Amino acid sequence: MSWHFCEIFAELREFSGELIRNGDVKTMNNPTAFQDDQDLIRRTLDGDNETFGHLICKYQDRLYNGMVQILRSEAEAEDVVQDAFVLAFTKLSSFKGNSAFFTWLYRIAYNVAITRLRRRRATVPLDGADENGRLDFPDCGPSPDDRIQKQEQSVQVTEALTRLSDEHRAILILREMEELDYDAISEILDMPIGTVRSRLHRARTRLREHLEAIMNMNNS
Amino acid sequence: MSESWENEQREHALTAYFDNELGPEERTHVEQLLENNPDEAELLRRWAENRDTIRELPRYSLDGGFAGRVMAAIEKSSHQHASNEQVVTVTNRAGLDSETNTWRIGLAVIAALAAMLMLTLFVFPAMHESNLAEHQPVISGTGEVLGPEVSPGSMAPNNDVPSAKRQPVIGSLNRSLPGDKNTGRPVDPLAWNSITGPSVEQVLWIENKPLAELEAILASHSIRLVVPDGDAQDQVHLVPQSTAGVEALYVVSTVARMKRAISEMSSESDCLVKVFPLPGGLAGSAIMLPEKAGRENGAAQQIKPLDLTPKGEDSTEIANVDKWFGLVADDDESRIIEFLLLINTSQEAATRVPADSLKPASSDR
Repeated sequence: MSWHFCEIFAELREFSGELIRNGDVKTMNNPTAFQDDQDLIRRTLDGDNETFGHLICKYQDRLYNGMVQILRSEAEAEDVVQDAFVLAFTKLSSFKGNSAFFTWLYRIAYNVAITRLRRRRATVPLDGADENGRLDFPDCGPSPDDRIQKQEQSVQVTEALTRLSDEHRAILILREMEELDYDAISEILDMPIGTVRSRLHRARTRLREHLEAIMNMNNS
Repeated sequence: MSESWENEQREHALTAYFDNELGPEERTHVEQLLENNPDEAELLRRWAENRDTIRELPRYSLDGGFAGRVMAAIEKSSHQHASNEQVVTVTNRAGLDSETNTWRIGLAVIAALAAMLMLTLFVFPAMHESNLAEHQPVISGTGEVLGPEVSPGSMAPNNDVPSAKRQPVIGSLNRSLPGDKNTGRPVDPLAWNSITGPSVEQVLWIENKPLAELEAILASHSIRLVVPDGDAQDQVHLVPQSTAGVEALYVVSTVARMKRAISEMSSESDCLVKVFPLPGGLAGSAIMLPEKAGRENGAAQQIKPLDLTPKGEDSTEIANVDKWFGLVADDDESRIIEFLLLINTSQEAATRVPADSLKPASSDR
């Protein structure tokens, strides 16, 4: 069986205006009808399992990216994201809509990831990294000097993130990369907002310490 | 107020300020603090720098087939869950049966006496005229027999049995079955309470395909499995078929979906799909124990496990699904069609058949 939801979704998003005007798109394939996660969830719970595929397409990369950063392994992150979606599907009826679907989904994925991390405390190199643990970064700057400086910063921050504890790295990814607010972080990590604040402070402080150590090592 | 407590509150306030999680009043207060504390202002500047760098880190993405793999895993997982539920349900029902056995016997005696009186007075004469016993089908779903047995030929396609008498109660054995693509409704016993098509038209013999995988394929094509209506009497037939190494799946779907499902089965290297003519042309008829056949309906023909083995020329491998469907069905791909799939689940069969050696060079029917 082959599912191509993501491609179809992207194409329809691109051409939706024209297609809808022409009346060639059934409601089921109309991306504008799926803007609301609640609608997708309701359809899935009503037995239209394919609709869940749209939720997967919508969140798979965002979730995967977060899990790669937390787990420091692309292969493991993919496994975790798949497990999370399967779990989310089976528990979908328990989603009450009190929070965003992504927050609920992320919590499931985070719990799966943490279980894995607890099983292996050994460092697993990030896929795509060279023997020094450094990643190939895409071009991202206007001038060569700026680009080199940016790349250097990225490498240092990546290395500093790797040196953090799993808990500190996770909360920084949720806040800095995912840009989730304290309420969402509190729900995902299952901790009071006061603890979110204090852990974020410690995580940032530790990140800064690691960065300084890395920079000192590079300069010496 | 201790110094450590003050420091902690200060850190909380700085963090919340940095994350824009403070109200206007608290925000103003922190900004005043920062004006008088350049070290802390510098700290926030560094945090911001790190945050910006983290946000610019390369993003990872999954390949386009990921959603498909997840959906397949979901279907497999749901299927296993549904199978477990089915076992539990049967077990629980057995438990209930034993607990309420005494009551049932008493009620049954009373009901039987009343029924005998009614039958003697009103029903028996009419039954002799219409011979209703021939009009009730046996339809299997995962080795379970749905209803009373029928005599040979009574389920043949295009027979003249009134549809109301042939329609079994059906529902979804596999809760992972996708909803109906036309209506969007879920497949469950409440959504589907009758079969609209004729009786079983084709019987297929399938080897080297685990039952669970086969059911997953059917589910992925929205093909419905027909299951019993819960009559405890039907459960009698479950064990004999399973122990005989043959599972029977009674499925209902459109020609198009069946075509796709059979095509998928046939395309897998080890799986062998054959057209299987039941002895005596008993398409859709009873698969039952000898003692059951003798006791309940002498006219029903017993199919022994031995008979369920495809024998040479009697069975034909489906090598070209499109062509085969062209021969056995009309061109209306939306037409409802009913199949009986016999799956050889015995260990012996799984190891006995080298699939490639059984495949004829060109055996299009």
